[in-house]
Amino acid sequence: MKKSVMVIGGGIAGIQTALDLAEKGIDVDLVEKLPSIGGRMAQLDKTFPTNDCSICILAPKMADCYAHPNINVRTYSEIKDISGTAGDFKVDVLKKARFVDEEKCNGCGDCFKVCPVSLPNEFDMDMRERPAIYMPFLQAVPRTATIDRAGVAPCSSKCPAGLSAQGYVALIRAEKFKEALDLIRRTVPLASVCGRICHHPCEEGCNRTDIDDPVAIAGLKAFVGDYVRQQGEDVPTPIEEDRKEKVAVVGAGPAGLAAAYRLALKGFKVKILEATSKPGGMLWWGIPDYRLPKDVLTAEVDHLLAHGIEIEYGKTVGKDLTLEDLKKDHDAVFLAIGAHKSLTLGVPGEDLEGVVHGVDFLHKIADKETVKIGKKVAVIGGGNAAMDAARTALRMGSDVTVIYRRTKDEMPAIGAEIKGAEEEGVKFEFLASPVKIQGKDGKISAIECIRMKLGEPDQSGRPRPVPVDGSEFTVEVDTVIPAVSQAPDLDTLGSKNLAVTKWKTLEADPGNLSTNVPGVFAGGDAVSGPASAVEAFAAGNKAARYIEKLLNGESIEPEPEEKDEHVITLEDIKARMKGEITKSERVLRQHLPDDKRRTSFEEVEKVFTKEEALKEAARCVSCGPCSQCEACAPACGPNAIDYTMKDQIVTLNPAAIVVATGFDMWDPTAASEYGYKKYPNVYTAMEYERMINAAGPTGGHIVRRSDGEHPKKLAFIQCVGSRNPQVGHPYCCSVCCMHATKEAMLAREHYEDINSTIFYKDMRACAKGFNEYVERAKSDYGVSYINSDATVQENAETHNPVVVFDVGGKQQSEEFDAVVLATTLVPRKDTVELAKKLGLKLTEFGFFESPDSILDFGKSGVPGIYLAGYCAGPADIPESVAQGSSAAAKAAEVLANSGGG
Amino acid sequence: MSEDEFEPNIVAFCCNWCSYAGADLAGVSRMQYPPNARIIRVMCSGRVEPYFVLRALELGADGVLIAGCHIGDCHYISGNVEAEKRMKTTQELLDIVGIGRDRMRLEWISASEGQKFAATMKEFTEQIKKLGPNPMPKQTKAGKTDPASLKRKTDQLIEDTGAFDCVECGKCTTVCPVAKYDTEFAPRTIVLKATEGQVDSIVKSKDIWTCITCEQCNSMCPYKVDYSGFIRGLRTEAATLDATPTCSQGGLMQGMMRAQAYGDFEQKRLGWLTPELKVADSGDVFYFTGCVSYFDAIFGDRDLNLSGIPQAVVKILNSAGITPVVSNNEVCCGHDLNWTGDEDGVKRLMKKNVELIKASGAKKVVFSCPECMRTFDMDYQDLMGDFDFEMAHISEFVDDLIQDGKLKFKKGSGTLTFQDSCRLGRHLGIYDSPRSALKGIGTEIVEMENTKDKATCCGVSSWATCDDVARKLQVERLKEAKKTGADCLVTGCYKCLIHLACARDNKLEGVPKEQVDIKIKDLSVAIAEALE
Ligand SMILES: Cc1cc2nc3c(=O)[nH]c(=O)nc-3n(C[C@H](O)[C@H](O)[C@H](O)COP(=O)(O)OP(=O)(O)OC[C@H]3O[C@@H](n4cnc5c(N)ncnc54)[C@H](O)[C@@H]3O)c2cc1C
Ligand code: SF4
Ligand code: SF4
Ligand code: SF4
Ligand code: SF4
Ligand code: SF4
Ligand code: SF4
Repeated sequence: MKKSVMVIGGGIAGIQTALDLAEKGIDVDLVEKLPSIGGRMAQLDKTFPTNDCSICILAPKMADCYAHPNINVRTYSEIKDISGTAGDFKVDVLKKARFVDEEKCNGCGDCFKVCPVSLPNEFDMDMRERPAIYMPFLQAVPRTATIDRAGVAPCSSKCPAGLSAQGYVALIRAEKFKEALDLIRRTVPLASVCGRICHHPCEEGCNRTDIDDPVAIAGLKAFVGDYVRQQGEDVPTPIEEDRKEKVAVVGAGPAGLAAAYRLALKGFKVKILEATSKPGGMLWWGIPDYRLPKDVLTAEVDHLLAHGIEIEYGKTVGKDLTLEDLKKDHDAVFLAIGAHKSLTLGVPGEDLEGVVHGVDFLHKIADKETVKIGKKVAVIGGGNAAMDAARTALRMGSDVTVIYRRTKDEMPAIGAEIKGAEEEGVKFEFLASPVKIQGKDGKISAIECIRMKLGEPDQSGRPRPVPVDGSEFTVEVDTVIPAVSQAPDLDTLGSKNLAVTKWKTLEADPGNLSTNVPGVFAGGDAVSGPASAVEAFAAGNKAARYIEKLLNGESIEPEPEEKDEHVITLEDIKARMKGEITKSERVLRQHLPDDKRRTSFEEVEKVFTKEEALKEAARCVSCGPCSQCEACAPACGPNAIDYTMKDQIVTLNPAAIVVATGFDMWDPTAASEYGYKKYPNVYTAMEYERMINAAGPTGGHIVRRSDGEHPKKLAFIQCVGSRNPQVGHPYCCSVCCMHATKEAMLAREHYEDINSTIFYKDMRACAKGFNEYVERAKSDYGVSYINSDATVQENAETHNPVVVFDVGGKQQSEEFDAVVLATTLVPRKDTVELAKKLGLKLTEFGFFESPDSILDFGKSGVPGIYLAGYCAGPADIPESVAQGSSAAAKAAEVLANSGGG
Repeated sequence: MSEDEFEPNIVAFCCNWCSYAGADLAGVSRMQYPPNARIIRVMCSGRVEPYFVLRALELGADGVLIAGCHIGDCHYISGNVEAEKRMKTTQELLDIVGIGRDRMRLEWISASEGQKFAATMKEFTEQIKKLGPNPMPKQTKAGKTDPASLKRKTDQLIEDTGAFDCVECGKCTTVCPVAKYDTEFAPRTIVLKATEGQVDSIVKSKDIWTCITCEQCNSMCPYKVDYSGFIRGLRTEAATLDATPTCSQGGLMQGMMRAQAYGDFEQKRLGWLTPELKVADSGDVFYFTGCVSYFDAIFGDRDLNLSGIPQAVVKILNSAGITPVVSNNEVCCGHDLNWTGDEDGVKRLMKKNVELIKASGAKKVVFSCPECMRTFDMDYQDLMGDFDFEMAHISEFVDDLIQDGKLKFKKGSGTLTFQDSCRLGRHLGIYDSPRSALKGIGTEIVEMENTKDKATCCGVSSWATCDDVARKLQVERLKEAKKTGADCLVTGCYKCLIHLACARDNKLEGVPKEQVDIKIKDLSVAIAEALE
């Protein structure tokens, strides 16, 4: 087998090593962590001492590398594990999923434009933003986009319907409202509705919760649904396919509507049979107007129906026609009849005049029927139906007490509903359960209750309430509204063939929602018992998927539901953001004034205005960071984007390894005497390099962060963090004396009127023409050199940095327009880990150690492993290149000796 | 010497206008009075500072008489009123240190009262005879150091403090708060000169006394040069050459400290100990109070409530169920002697203190003065090796008690800002515990612009650097504190409290009062006030 060499790190040192080896006919695997090779040199504007354009001399080498038949460039890859010895290493390389096919992508950038996510661009030292799908820089090699997807946002992962919450929040932020709505509709067909009534587990999961408050995800959904409709942009999706198969959907609740909509989009002939006179199921009959105005519901349902869905009202399956009739006329049936039958309390007196069951009560109200209730109403139960009944009764002028057998903490109703009820003046009697409804002359006079205490948890995980003997008490009331629970009305369905569970719900396979009758599926509350709208949407989607499979003649074997993607935590985000996340207050929705709330059925919580929505969406910290909005794939001409891509482990078998992992820049924020991050016009040298680069964040202009002006007096401070045992870096970084000189010269090249001063400890300008370079800076570019370390303060008015230094045994200070810090360069964070894997030793400064640093530099302590470039200690580009060639020669020797090559 | 042989030395400070003339009259009139007095003429009795008295006693006087014009007759209107005030302080100090107020006397003697002068002299001589000789060991003159041994010693110092590693970068100068205002002073230059061998000139230069040993430079020096240690070493050498400056209050503080170091008196340093405070003679926790009672005597006329500090500490400890050992035999830790060149004095004080603590059986020593703690933790242990008792600043101790739920506080309110003193902060590295203790009592902490290791200090170190620069630093600091909008500036150091309050309460050229006017409070006091 032909032997190969692995080069770890695709900076200039690694590139040189790979090219040298490849030219000798040796196969090379060049493993680079980032999406592109090039390393730090790619970030530099020019190189000393010739002032050549850095990328101009580097890019051809990068391209050669990629094109070379003997070099396999493996970007976005990391070393997982290493075993073996010289001549025969085994290396597991983790190839991270970039979600873009390297073969297909041509780097056109069309996808970047549609991505709603903005992230700091690391290549530009965070001085501008990039989308979640990106190429780090124009000349990147390979010329392939990468999706920055570290995992799934908790909001998205918590949504019961699997809706990409981060996705639509991001699209709203990017003012792509229609796209946001389209994304929502892919899982939740009724956006305006869902945004108003969902119990939003997404918000409970939101990573902002621990910083301040969760992003108002649901509220944004309501906004975008309304907004797009109001703009007249909510037009039906054209249906491309035309299928002859017919599907009957029984029930026009969320589950039925979702299934019908999905199937209609696929071109099937869908007919909904609805027992009542209105669409929406519980959304219409159970949820009062002050939470969900009927016109909103109607408008959104109409939008769905406009996709060619036929609906027949007043048709009850089991009464007006049988399930068997339906089956005869249709290729599949979906039963989504909900749970509308009120369960009784089972206490004496329930037949007295003045007892109205919760769902019936709400139903009548929705039907604008007159319902008579008394002055003092008791509502029994703690779920949403109970809250809705209580708040409705209150609006009818009654004094309302909710009686619930557990405590507030155990109430199953949505938090907002409980809060709303409390705010409006509903009273609560917790830990109480009715034992008897007392009557006088056939009418209710009072309700007798018993006190409960909480015992062991029951199946639902909530503590079981147990009555306290002898603790009976009575509450005087004239109306009782029991709202304890509901069950599906299976009697009306009237089919003896359908299997039913012991809880009197329909039995369906949780994997595909098929019932025991072939071709008949069931879902929503009818199967689960009373749950939530969003779960019903999910059920409708699932049923539609399997019905489609059935009708396609495919197997309806349930697919495994994998949900193994890493859920992003706050720690992940803090690590990525390099610091704390700034607090920002949640935008609160406008509320109807209190007095109006108690008397009218007008919507209580107003939907966000566009401004409010944009402000709120901006609070999202883009957890993913890719939001999984899936906007990019359709934008890609060559179809290169593949969201299903997975991380892969490739095992390689190199004979030798060259480590060329380079360096990291030291962050001078902690060394507060330099004022970095504290004063706007203090920059690091790398920031400055990006700034003066024509392709950089400022298009090659040197600008002050404080006012965008170009500075006229520029100070450079040397040895920031280097030659400083105090901060743990006693070594000289060996390049900043020269690059500062270069940068000062370039300043003058950009602007005639810039004068630069360099504050240095001592000038290290040895050999390679460096001394002459410094002299040239002085004579031709007017650069001044001052022999003193310096610290920085600021003139708060002008934001001019004030440099403090010592000349002539006096503390002096001088104002500049901007300061550039030549920060030290340090071993990469993962050096220790990599050293452990490779069995390498580190120097006292944390670089990889070459034991014989005088006569045999580049040999690591481990046979077959060699070092090149900055990872083995401070080195400039020429040195890194020379070391790369030397390492290549050494690695080639191993191959020769081990009989490969 | 037997008692009847004893002829006391008496120093009499007489004012020029009345008493000196009175003494003259006594002489001219050939009145008989004992010949023990050496009369020193001063222009006014008000000129006699407490330090004059102490210094006279230190130099061999057995008694000191101060005589001035009668109240109302002062040539300078109220100089003698001043003298009376100062006398009270001096008497108190003599009592506390154990020399006793009886060794001095103040009399009003007019130019015509020759008789009274003679009588006073007679009486006072008798009184001193009865007291016997002044037990204070006489101070010996410093011995001369020869240039060769000076060179050897400074070379060693350069080695020991890492000054040898200096790369002359000048960063020390850029961060030095003194160099900011004193353009003659640059730390880099001193190190440079020393390493170049110009030892003699720097040991004798005022620069080594200008440094406030705040360690801003130590903390910033890339090569970790122990600059303050270097300065301290040079001061020790300077002291052997008698090249020392005059300290605040004429050197009174150092005098008191020397009395404790070289003398052997029964002090009265527990005047602050009120009956409701529970203390013991032996036990696990020793509370080392520091020289707070001396400071209280000296600055008693200012509204500083210095006695309140040890009271607060004991109150805190008591309410956590701890009865600390507090001893009247404690002596000054020697911090100020150490930083003004008297190494011998420090060693003597150290011996006394360490023996005392060992005898008490304490396992832990708590300090409310960061200078004492620094001296124990760093200097004593350097000299004696590690102690087998632990040491903690009160903030660390309280923080632990709060964490363990042993202290209960009223619902806190208000905002505070904390002054990191140089000793507690940069010298000892304690930044978090005072903040966390203050948070523990429920107050909000706002930080000043320069905080923690970047905090500027009160400007006066070891009573040796009270000057114009110090005042500027104090004003700068007060302004920073005021700018935070905090209700109160909390300090963890007695001296920060004294010096910052001094700046706040004095007339300041060109600084509007409202820019510096902020309440200043000691940390322990703030904590004790919040106790339930
Ligand atoms: C502001 C500034 C200006 C400079 N100007 C000049 C100049 O003008 N002239 C000059 O000669 N020098 C200059 N330098 C120095 C120059 O940048 C370095 O000498 C050079 O980049 C070193 O090359 P390298 O290949 O060793 O490391 P790098 O350029 O750091 O490349 C290392 C590569 O390895 C990858 N990598 C790291 N860890 C792993 C891993 N575990 N697995 C896989 N891949 C990994 C990295 O992503 C990177 O792509 C400057 C430096 C700075 C900071
Ligand atoms: S899925 Fe959306 S967020 Fe992710 S990269 Fe594509 S467009 Fe950007
Ligand atoms: S911050 Fe944004 S992405 Fe993250 S959980 Fe919250 S809404 Fe989702
Ligand atoms: S649109 Fe497609 S081809 Fe173009 S850069 Fe994006 S992924 Fe590559
Ligand atoms: S190269 Fe120059 S600026 Fe950089 S650490 Fe060395 S001496 Fe300092
Ligand atoms: S900061 Fe340190 S190294 Fe620099 S001049 Fe001062 S003492 Fe010397
Ligand atoms: S110790 Fe303080 S005052 Fe002395 S030189 Fe250093 S910074 Fe200046």
